Amino acid sequence: MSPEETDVWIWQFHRVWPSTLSEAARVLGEIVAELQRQGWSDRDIFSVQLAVEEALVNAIKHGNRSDVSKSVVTRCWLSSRLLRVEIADEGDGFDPDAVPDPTLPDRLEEPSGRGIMLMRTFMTRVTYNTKGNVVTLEKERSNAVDHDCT
Amino acid sequence: MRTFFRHLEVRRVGTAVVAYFVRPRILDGSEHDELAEELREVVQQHRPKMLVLNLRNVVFLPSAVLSHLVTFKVRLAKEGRLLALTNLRPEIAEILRIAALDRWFDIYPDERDALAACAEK
Repeated sequence: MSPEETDVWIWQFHRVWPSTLSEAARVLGEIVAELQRQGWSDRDIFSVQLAVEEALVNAIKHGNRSDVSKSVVTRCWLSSRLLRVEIADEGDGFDPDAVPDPTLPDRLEEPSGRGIMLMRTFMTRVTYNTKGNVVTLEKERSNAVDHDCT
Repeated sequence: MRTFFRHLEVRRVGTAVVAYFVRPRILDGSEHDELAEELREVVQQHRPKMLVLNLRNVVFLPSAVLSHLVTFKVRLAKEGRLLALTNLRPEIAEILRIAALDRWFDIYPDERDALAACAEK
């Protein structure tokens, strides 16, 4: 069953913002502040902060090529047990499965490819649309069961 | 004697240099480039046998900064210099482990261990 069938969203937002890192920081700050308000653990917040930051920076640098005339669209949904963040850029997209594994011995000295891996590691699910210019990150609250029972 | 940069605080210890990150996180892309430039400047100024990066103040390590550190270590190695990382918080150590860089970098618990290793090399 998908989260949408079971979750009641207690907080949502939709932002369209220019491709600047200062705006990315503002959007990230809003998400983190809400998680703190909802009492998410420091560990979960660290994971979300790291992964969403990577995704926002990717949208700006690789998607929109740091072109401030291009926008990034961020939509966010939060339930008592799940955070979902969707980030869309105006770029040509890419094939995430074609990004080489940066942990392979012969790739360790390469400067790129770690962002996606970190996102996948720290979030519960990371999915891309077919074109590869919209990423959806989901994080299940680590103490969700306890939280729901209290 | 300590030298202060925008992102780094630096002190010379024998043939090594110890650098501390001033701020806990660096988000802005231009700041990533500034950090890389400061690291290069530190090496040019001091010509150390080992550069010790004390990460005690670092609570976040984006992949862009990690990439700068990887590139920097490769560059130092070509010059016959060493890069050591010390005082990693658990979260930072985890990021390096996930990236399979925990054995690729020379990581020490603290400066003293790194400087001792430098003296032996």
